[in-house]
Amino acid sequence: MEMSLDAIDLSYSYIPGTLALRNITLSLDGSGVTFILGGNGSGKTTLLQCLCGIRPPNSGSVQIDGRDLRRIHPLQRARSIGFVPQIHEPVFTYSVYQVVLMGRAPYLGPFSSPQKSDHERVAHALHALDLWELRDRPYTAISGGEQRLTLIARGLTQGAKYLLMDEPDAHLDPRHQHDVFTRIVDLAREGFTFAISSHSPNNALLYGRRVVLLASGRLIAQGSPQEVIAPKLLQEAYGMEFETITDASGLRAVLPATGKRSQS
Amino acid sequence: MLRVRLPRILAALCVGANLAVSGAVFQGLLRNPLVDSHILGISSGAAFGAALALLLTHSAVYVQLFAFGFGLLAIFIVYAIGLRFGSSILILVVTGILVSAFYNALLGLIKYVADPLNTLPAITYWLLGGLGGARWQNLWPLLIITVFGITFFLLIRWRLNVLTLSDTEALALGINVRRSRFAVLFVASLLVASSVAISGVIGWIGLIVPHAARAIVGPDHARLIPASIGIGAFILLILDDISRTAMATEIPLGILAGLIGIPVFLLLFMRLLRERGGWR
Repeated sequence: MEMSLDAIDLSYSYIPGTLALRNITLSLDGSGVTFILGGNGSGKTTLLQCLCGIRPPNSGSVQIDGRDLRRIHPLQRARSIGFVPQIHEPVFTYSVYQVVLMGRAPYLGPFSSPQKSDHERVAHALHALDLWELRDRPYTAISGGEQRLTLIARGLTQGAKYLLMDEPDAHLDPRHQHDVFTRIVDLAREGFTFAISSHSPNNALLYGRRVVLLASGRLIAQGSPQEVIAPKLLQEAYGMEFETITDASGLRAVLPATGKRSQS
Repeated sequence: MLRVRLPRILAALCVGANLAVSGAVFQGLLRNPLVDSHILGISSGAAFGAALALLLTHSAVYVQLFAFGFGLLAIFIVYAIGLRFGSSILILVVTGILVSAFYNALLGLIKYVADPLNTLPAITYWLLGGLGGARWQNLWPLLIITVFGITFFLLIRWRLNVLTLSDTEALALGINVRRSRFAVLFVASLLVASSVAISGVIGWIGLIVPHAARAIVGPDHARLIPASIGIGAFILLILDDISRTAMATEIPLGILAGLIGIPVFLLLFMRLLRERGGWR
């Protein structure tokens, strides 16, 4: 059977009567990197948290390989789906190594400590993301880009095939964004499936294979970046006009339509 | 010697270890390096219980029993309210502070009505803290709970790292945050209540020993928990020896802990800051 993580007619509400997500149906099926775009408060983070099983939907379901997430033990679920939060704020200055090692929690009982095999998984993940040299540095003392990579390494250590990332490009300069996304695209080629929420349609164009567009909790479009990142759809999602920049290879970027605004 | 000194030595080791390890655990699980063993109202509950017992009787057994009972009652109130509303850290801490404040008001009331010649000095003296009352016959509850609690924390020490993560992250790692937090805070509370019941309120150890241990072995609970236990037990033993021998009459442990402990640790802290160029 095809491996996939699906949302089926998923709805979620924080406050009874107010839906944060309405009837979302989408599928992450080994399709590399899927970007989730949408304005502030459109439900991107909520969708990611529903997909990784920490917010059970009010109606509809999330299914992994055809099985309802609610029927799977949380520890089992955590071995398949990893969540990378936008902000990981450790209270104490754990080292990069310690942060990545916490990815082994789904495999260890409450009264066990990590064994040799767990440490081998950590070493493997750190090498895979070129973080080995940084392993003893405090997590709080490395760059924002390195912090994102550390959390990806934690996801790999977790054994997760699906990695759900909440705005990994937030607060990063262009070089670090590019570094992080290049890694993500490489890992996607190796068979990992990413769902990434972002405020940057241009990053979705550059690094995404699929794009999902949300507006006030509804899914208004999904498809290839070239299809979804269109001025008309973006206007519906963000409530402002966009203009496109294209070249021989097709759509390269979208920008706010400043010219039209100054005329009005 | 064996009849009087050994129980007192054991009591010092247990109380020091318990206060230090519970402080480390509270700081980690409540994600706040400024809290100590007394944060959730346990010590205020125990102080009120002891004062109430001293008001009603003068039996040492009842003092210990009431202190332990009311200390645990505090944590049960905090949990009852916390669990009802999702047991987030903020709710636990706010409820803990309120319970603590209410117990303090009750304690004030007892002091006010207590006989100022007889009962009031006894209450005041108890509150200053000390191990003078440790005997074989009243030590065994502390010993049993300490062995149980310390074993528990030594076993669960690595998992404590994961419990310092935000709820979202811990849940995403498949951990049942609510249940784990409940269990761990409950065992820590048992350690505090059983200690305060025999020693009175001894401040600062639960706050500063974990920080000292963190400065030496780092924040990884796999090493922090054993270090806190060792340092806490050792320091309280030393302080108790000084308390017995420095002057002709015994200096209350709570006072001594503050007088010696705080300057010593302030010096260590400043040296650490100088070495590291700030707190990281």
